[in-house]
Amino acid sequence: MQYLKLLVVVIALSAVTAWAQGPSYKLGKTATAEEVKTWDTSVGPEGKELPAGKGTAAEGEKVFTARGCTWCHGPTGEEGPAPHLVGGGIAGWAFATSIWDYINRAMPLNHEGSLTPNEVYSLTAYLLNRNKIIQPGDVLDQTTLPKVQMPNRGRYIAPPVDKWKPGTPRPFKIEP
Amino acid sequence: METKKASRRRFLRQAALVGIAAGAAPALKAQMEMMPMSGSSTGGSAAASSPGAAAPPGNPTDRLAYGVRSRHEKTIRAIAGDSVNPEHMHFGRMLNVLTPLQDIVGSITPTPLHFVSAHGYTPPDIDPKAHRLMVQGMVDRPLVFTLDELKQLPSTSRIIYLECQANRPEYKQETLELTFGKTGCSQWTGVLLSVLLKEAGVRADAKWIVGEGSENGRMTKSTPLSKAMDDVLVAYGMNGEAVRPENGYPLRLVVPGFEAIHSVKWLRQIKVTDRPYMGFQETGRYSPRTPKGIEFTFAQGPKSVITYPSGGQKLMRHGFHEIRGLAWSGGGRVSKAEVSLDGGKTWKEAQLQGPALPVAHTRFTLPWQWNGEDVVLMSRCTDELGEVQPTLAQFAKFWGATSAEFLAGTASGAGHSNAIQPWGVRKDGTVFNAIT
Repeated sequence: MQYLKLLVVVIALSAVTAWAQGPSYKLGKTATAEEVKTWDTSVGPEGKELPAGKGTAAEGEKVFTARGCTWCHGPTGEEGPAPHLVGGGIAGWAFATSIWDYINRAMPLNHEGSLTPNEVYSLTAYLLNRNKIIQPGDVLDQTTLPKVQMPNRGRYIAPPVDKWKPGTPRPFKIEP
Repeated sequence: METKKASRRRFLRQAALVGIAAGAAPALKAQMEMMPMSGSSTGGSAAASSPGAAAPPGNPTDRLAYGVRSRHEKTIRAIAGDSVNPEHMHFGRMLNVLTPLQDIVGSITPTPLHFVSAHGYTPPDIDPKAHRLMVQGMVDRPLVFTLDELKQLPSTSRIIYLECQANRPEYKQETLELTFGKTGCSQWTGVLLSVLLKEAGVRADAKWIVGEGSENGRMTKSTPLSKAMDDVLVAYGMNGEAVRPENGYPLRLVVPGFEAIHSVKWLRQIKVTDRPYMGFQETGRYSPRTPKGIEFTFAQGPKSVITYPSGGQKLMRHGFHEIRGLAWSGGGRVSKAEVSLDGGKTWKEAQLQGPALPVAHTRFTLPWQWNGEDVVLMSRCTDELGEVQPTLAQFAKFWGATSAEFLAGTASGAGHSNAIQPWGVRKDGTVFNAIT
């Protein structure tokens, strides 16, 4: 009976880890949760990894000038010479979390990674408000940011990855 | 004769090259300074050097320790058009250079001539001893590997082409390099990503991996887990030596057959997820507007181009010429390359230089007699999945636009172009881009 229980547990576990195999080569170090947190700043569409913090469009407008965003994007973000931030571009992105992630990892140029979470929330709010996606008074934080409805979201088609197998013909086959 | 417009473009390219050299890291700067600033790599004016020319650079011992090509060989990578477009220039920092396909005589792209698209970032100067790759996310055991550890794992070498999705945005450029130069084919060596993922133990509900680079913007790109478990490489070797800095040193992903944006350079992290992470390079760019909506594209279609004779070259005599070209497909092996000598009315099967490897540049040749007539040459590739390379008109129709819109650069949102390229030969032997 004990063995039967154990067998059930083993079968259940192996069903959960379909791809998993035991470590075979004993190379590489196991990373601690703390090491992973320090190493990884990426934020997915659900916003699970978003840090604590908050910001509004009004705060973001100040940060936009204070952190030198204006040098490349222009006084209000639409003058350039760097990519225009109003009226095209990011308004078409599927998830507001992507804007947070990109500002956080890639801005400002030459000082990437120097913004605080509050500054990133504020800049995201500023850009979303300038693009008329959120209201001037909206506060963005861990909870509200993932809920922002981006206007183009519905146009994104989920890639059929479950069906993808080596040798699968392209979905974009053009018949001559 | 050079037109005013062409001359201006050349000026901008050279200015951009100087700009990059001035702002680049020392190693890159030294490399750039090796490149001659004058003289076109696009053929036509190969000046004979005098026997009394200056001695080759560097001392003879150094040249033996690490070889350099003959001082008579001048082929260089050209600056990509988007690097001289002020709209896309990242303040002089964009390093986009093109493979001079018209000058390459084999199917492997020489490493120093491989195209580079750096998305505005100067290649980081990474100490291989300090570099780490973390595999984490939806795994049982998040793992950190040193480069040395990765090199001890079972290794795989494969000859694979990598081609930018944006090959080719500038249909009307005169030369092969400027229209098709964002592709290259190398032998990549590394450890299969599936080995690392199995070591970490991927959870059953995982569906994607997100690769992340170490450059200042730490670019990310999502790839289906099914592809990652199949044939994706974590490469440290390129054509038998370490991957070059501008190509991803010390580690890069190589995702065979997919748009090269998936092959993340300067790789620092693989995050296993249950969904695409919708980073800048998939939500802001690279997701084409199909007739149905906004979709991801993965495998590239069959493609080919005639490298000789090609735009900007000149046939110097009537009689025998060998038509040469390259064919490739993200779908697998090239099964057939055909050449048309009459602008696409009839096709002749070309000789493939075997073995035709899957997802690799494959050379083809066809003997030809040119009697001095006006002629339009084209090539067409069929891959092992049976997909056939389309004409520009067919390609444009698929994306809901016209050829004219693509030629004018006003058709936006389309996927990777694999449209057939015509080269016209005039009675005087000059070869021009005959795309319509």
